[in-house]
Amino acid sequence: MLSDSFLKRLDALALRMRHPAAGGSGGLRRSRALGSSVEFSDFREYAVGDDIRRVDWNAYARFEKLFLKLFMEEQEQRVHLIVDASASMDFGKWEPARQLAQTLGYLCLCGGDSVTVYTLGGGGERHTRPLRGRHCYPELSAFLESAQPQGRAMIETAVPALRLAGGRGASVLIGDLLDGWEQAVLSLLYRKQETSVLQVWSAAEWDPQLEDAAELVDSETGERFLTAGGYEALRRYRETARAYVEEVTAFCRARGVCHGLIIPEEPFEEQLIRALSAAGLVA
Amino acid sequence: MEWLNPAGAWAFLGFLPVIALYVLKRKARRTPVPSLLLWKKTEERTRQNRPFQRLRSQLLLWLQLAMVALLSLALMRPVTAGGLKGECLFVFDLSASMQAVDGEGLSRLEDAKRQALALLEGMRDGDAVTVLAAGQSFSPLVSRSTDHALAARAIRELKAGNGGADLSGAMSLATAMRREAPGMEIYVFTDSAAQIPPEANLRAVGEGAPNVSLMDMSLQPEANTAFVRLVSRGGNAQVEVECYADGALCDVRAVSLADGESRGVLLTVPEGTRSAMARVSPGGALAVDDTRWAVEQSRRQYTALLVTESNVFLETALRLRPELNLVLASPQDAQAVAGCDLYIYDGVLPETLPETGAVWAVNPPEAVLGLRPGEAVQGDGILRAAAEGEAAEICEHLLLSDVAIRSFRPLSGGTPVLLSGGEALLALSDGNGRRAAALGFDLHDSNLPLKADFPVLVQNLLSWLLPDAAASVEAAGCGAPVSFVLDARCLSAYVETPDGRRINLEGNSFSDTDAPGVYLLVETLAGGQVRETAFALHIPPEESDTLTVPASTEGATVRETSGSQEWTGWVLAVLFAVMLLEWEVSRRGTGV
Repeated sequence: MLSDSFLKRLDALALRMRHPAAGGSGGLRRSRALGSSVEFSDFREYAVGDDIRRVDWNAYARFEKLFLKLFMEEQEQRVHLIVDASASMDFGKWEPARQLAQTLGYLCLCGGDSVTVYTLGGGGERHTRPLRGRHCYPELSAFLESAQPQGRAMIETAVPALRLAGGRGASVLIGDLLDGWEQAVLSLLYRKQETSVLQVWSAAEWDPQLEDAAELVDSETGERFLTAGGYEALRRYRETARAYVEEVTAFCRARGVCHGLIIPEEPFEEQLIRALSAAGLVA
Repeated sequence: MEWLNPAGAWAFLGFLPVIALYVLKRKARRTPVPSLLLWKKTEERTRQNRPFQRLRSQLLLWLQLAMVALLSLALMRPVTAGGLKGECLFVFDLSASMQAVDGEGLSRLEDAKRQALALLEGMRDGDAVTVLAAGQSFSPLVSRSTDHALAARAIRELKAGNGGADLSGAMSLATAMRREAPGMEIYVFTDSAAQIPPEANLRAVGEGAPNVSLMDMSLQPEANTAFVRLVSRGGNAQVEVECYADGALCDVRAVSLADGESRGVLLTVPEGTRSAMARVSPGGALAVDDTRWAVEQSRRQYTALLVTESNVFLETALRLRPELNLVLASPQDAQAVAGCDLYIYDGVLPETLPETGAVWAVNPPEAVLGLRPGEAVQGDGILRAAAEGEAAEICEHLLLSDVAIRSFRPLSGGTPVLLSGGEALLALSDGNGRRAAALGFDLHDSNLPLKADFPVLVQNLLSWLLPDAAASVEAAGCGAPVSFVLDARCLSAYVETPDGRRINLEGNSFSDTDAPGVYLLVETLAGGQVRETAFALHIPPEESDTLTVPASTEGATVRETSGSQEWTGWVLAVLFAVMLLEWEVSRRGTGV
């Protein structure tokens, strides 16, 4: 659970969406739909059945034609927080990932958006109901607190299978992106989701320390792998890891997906805000 | 740059384990990781999973190889200085005991050869080698040759003799050769505790194997017996002694011997046996002393002329010798008798001495064959015997106590035998193969004839004046040259060796005596008469001691004292520095 002081700091921030909200019920987020907000949008000629309270009488005096003033509709954004809860997240990554989801959820709830949290792990897919309003934060937080990383997430098939409510929306995928993430991202984009990817790696994953030869065991598959260890092997690993991250970044950039790499440090809350800002998710 | 220990180059094989450490993969520790994805991607680039990895240039690897190289160099003991060479001199003991077979079924000489060939193989090309064979005499078989194949062949062809070994002479030669080549290493391969110079390396061969040997044998045909003495060294022994009379088996005895025991065995031989051979089995480590021979000794008859007015003492003493035919003559007839083996003149001398035969002059009036009497002097009453050489043999068993002499004429020239007050009473001369003795006083002026010493002195003197051919070889052994005392009438002579060869005698010396067994001296005398003298030769008794073997010793190398500079210490210092550097590099993990 995020601390109260941190939540107060988050009150000053808002989740930034690049696209207008679409299709949600009344909310605070600007949408493409025309409605009753104070924000002027356009004029159009009067048609039978239109609300005469919206007729611009000044324009009628000048042009002797009836024009209606159109205003923007403010709608809520449907945000989907998809969190990888597979066993691979249990290497110092789960707690940061959970805090990320809580932070984003809180910002969404405070911004009048609808938030649904999904966890994908060995126990299958779990999700909350669409949550609205700040008062739902405890529920969101409790849901995440109750999840534990285990088993295989199989996000390449689990994400396409998610039943995302309301068509268009925004989805944030939080995980280590070590397996099947490309299909998950493409699936979200296909479903008109404004997609963001937050890649959480542990420091040991980014810069491992193996002084000697080691038999590595995959936490999800149990597969074993022999490595020589030592300086040379680690040097090659680091090269590979950085190349992999660059590959993920390039993939996301090419598809207009926000991407952020988070390698947890202490204190993590400070780093968290910086990382979300750098990824363009908060403003 | 020279190497004191080129065999240290084997340490360069240490490169192999060091490289193997880099080629072989280390034992893995099980470590759980979130995913193998990145590790597999890494492996695709480096192919880590193969049992061997490509040998890459790493600082740690080079440092470790440098450590191995430095260690190898240190073991090889590099030296610099002029004049140093890896020259070696091998001295081989070729005495009979080197034929002894120890535990491994290899004779001591074969073991010595094996050690020497191994040393020779370790020598560098161009290093000179000398092979010195020390038998009864010593000679360099290969002298400072750089042809190692030649030296190896000479070593392989070495054979142990049946005699002793003149190791001290060989060592003198080796030491002299080393003075010419200061860097020369001397290796002595022997089983005897010979004194060798401190700078020489003693390579003792043999393990002190037990042995049973036949030490003495004599034949008494008149008693139909042969006596043989057995000695056991190195443990109790149950042996069987066979006796062959003139080649036919005649007696077999079982004998039990305790460790170190010497026991005589009386064997029965048939009547008329001329030679007997005894053989012991099992004979232990040394085979050549398992057989012993004995031949019938037939004494030669001699004729002696005694010219005297009257000397009962002398006549009586001379008649004690059975093979001596004594002819008495008065001084007037001294010149009439010729052809005798010995002429004894008592107080007189003929006008001209006979041309052949030995001469004993008692109280001669004038010089005889180089022995000159002086003016008569009073003795001091104390007779002293000479202690060396032939004189000592003649004085053997003499007490010479309470012998009184009224006066004597000191003798000059020749070898003094008995002395009184520093002057010679009895002297010998041996010129041109003719033996002579002179006694410087009248026997009637002394109580010597009344003493027990007198007959002993006469017999000893007769043995020297009338040497017997067989008696002259009684003490001879294998390998040593034998000097015969041939009959004065001998025209030609040859020796028949145990293997049937006939070797004509040139002079009276015979040196082809290496084979143990029965030899036959055949003399052809004037008038066609043939005289045969058989004698047996055996290995020297000390060679049968196969139990005493010295310990190997390392000699003080000349290289260390010749002012040369050895760099081993510096190499070790650099090795230590590289070791520290390697440790630091390894600790910091900057090995690439």
